[in-house]
Amino acid sequence: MTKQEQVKAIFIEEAGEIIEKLDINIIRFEENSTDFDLLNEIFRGVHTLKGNANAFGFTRLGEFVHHFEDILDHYRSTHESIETHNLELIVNSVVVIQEVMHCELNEIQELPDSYPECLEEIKALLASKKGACEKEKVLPPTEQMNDLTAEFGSDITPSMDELLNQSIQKHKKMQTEDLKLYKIDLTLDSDCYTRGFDHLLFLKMLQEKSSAMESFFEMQNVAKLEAFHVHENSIGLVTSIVLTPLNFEEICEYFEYLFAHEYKVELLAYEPQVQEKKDELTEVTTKTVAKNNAPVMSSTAKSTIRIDTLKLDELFDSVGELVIAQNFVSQNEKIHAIEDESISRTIETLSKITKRIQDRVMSLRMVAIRDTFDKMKRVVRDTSKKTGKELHLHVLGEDTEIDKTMIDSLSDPLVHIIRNAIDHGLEADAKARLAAGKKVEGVITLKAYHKSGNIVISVSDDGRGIDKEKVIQKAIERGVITGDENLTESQAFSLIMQPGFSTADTISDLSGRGVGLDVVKTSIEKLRGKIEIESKQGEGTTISMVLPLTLAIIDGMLVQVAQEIYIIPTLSVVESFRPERDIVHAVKGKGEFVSMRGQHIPVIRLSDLFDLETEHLDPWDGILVCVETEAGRIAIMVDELVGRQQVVIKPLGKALAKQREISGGAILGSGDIALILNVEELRPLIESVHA
Amino acid sequence: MAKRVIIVDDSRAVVATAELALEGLITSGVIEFQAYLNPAELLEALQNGSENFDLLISDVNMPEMNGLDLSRYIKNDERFKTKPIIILTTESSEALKMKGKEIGVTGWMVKPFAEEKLVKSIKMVLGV
Repeated sequence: MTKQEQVKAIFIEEAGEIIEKLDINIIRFEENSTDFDLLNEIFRGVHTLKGNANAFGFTRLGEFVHHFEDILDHYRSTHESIETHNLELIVNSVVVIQEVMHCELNEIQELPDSYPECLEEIKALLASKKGACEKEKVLPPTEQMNDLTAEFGSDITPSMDELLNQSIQKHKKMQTEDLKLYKIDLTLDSDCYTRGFDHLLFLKMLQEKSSAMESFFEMQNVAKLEAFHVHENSIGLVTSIVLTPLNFEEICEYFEYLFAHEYKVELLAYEPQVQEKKDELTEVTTKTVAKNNAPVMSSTAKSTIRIDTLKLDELFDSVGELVIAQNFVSQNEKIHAIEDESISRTIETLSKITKRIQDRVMSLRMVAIRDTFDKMKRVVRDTSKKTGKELHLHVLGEDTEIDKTMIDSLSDPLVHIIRNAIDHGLEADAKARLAAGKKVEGVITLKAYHKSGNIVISVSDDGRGIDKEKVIQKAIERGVITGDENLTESQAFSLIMQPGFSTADTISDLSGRGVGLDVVKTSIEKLRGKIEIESKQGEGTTISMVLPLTLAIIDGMLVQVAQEIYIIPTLSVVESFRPERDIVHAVKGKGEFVSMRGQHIPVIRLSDLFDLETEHLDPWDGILVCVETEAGRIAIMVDELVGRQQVVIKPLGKALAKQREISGGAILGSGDIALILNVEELRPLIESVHA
Repeated sequence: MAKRVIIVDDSRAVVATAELALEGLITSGVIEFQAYLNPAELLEALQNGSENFDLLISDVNMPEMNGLDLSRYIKNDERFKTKPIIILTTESSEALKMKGKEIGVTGWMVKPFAEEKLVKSIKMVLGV
């Protein structure tokens, strides 16, 4: 790749991210089209996209985005509410942007029909808005200056008294019976940060209940760079002009946490006067108050850097090994034998720091599932349109954090399950829903939560539920089962995840597509997760994906057999013990069992499984580790327990990939490699060994 | 001594383009090149003394803080008062330029920029 190509690749990657973000944000914006902060963010993305598209010769994209930007700019600078059909146009434009980007990338000459259509609509809308604006041009020229200021958060300095006055005059015109104009003075003491109140929040809350708000403060008060102290506020007085339906008392309530001297609320009379002498103030909108606070907040402001995930993986592996090495040092008997306080203290410090690093690095990989859920909103919206089913999406637990690598592979299964839920889960049409005594609007619930050390992501519908008999019948027809089995409900439901199974009689455009839920099952199993289906006929279905917290680390129990160390995931360990001779029984043709509280648990000898020579010939010479598997408990016989620690899972090479009883390997502090047992696969082996 | 040139722009594509344009100056040791994608991060580094520059090239439209605000904060600092700042922008209205002038920025460059022009401007401003 030449350097030019590399730069272009960066542009393409970045543009892809911007468009993806745009897609998510625009759907959020559709839900709340008065969120001008969000509109600003959308605008910024589009702005960057425009500049870069032209620079890299994606002129068709650039042309479209250019007009799109203009229309966004219109709304964000006028704060005009967006009419429904225009909002629709904006949302659709994002789809066009995606399509054009696709054409540009693949050098397709033919543009989709939607491109010229959408572009014309945007231009027409723009023309109509421009026309309207020109008529409104009676506004004083300072109005334009204000717009600029709002945009660049700045200091053009016509006298600030003038600006404050202008603000009052401007808003006075907007006063009605119900909307009153107030002037609010907030005095921000220098220690206000340490007292735990966010004054900006008070204003924001008030702003939500108000139809207009402008705030002013004196830029000169703000300390210069070298004099800045993060804990000290230097802004001083902030004056806000607020147009609101609230009455005096209601406004005061917002500030009741503050001392009386810190705020003053004043109802402005209709006459254009009442001007207290204010020193030179700088006009900013409340938005830019935040911006101007930036240096103060910079220590807490979120700043991000991008890291190649490969590097992150390496870091993660190294930290895992560090943890292991640290364990090795702190548990080393020779080191323990040294009676020196400074050494033991150093080791203690080392383990503390290691733990901290481990936690931090772990958290690096964790991201909130919010973005994935946001993407699903678009899926739901589109599917709802295509199927003509009215529905409401309910999203819970968006802040649940999940391993980044998992998130990437979750999207497709989730899309599939959601489409399935809408297409097949919900009743065919409004009539059917009414007949079932339900509201016309179907409810799809998307939920993420933690459950006993796992993360669960579930999709529920309030549709018709799964018909167990129909599933069984279909499974027999397709040859998935013979019909002799006496299946429980959950076993029957899990049949729909089998390859080649589809209960929908007609394959629809949406969820059919030749791939079934078996693909979902496979991809979830790749993530070491499983799928659970709950369904009640007539009431709905919930499909849950149960996933491990992270892919890269497990808490393991280290056991020794002969000279080898194996790792059993602690999550599945129930207990470990040295059995009495009289509770172990050998049953001919079935192997050994240990009796525990009335249960006979099959014993599996790791030495047999891996062909190892051990001195511990009988279970009562060794230790039994009892583990829980999907098929029931089993007792794994080992020579000794070595300890418990977190290990970093390393994938095995191709040579060992077929060993189903091994799920991976880990490097120990000593540098040795230990294999991680896949307990789910152990049980069938007993049967084959003794069969 | 190589002159330290910092670019701050939230678009990686712009940063990469600039780096490519300046490759000759960088490899010949005339300038050191450092990029920031986040203005707040740059400001923090400048504040705590871990960063320094001989020329700053800043985008206008960035999240959290725009380039003019950034420039103003930097220009308010005695240490950087005399250091040149070039503003990189897609729109160059007169009003905007006026504001830049008040803050004390050295020059404007409109995106998308021609590589030669960037090199020429940098040479001119740094006198190299």
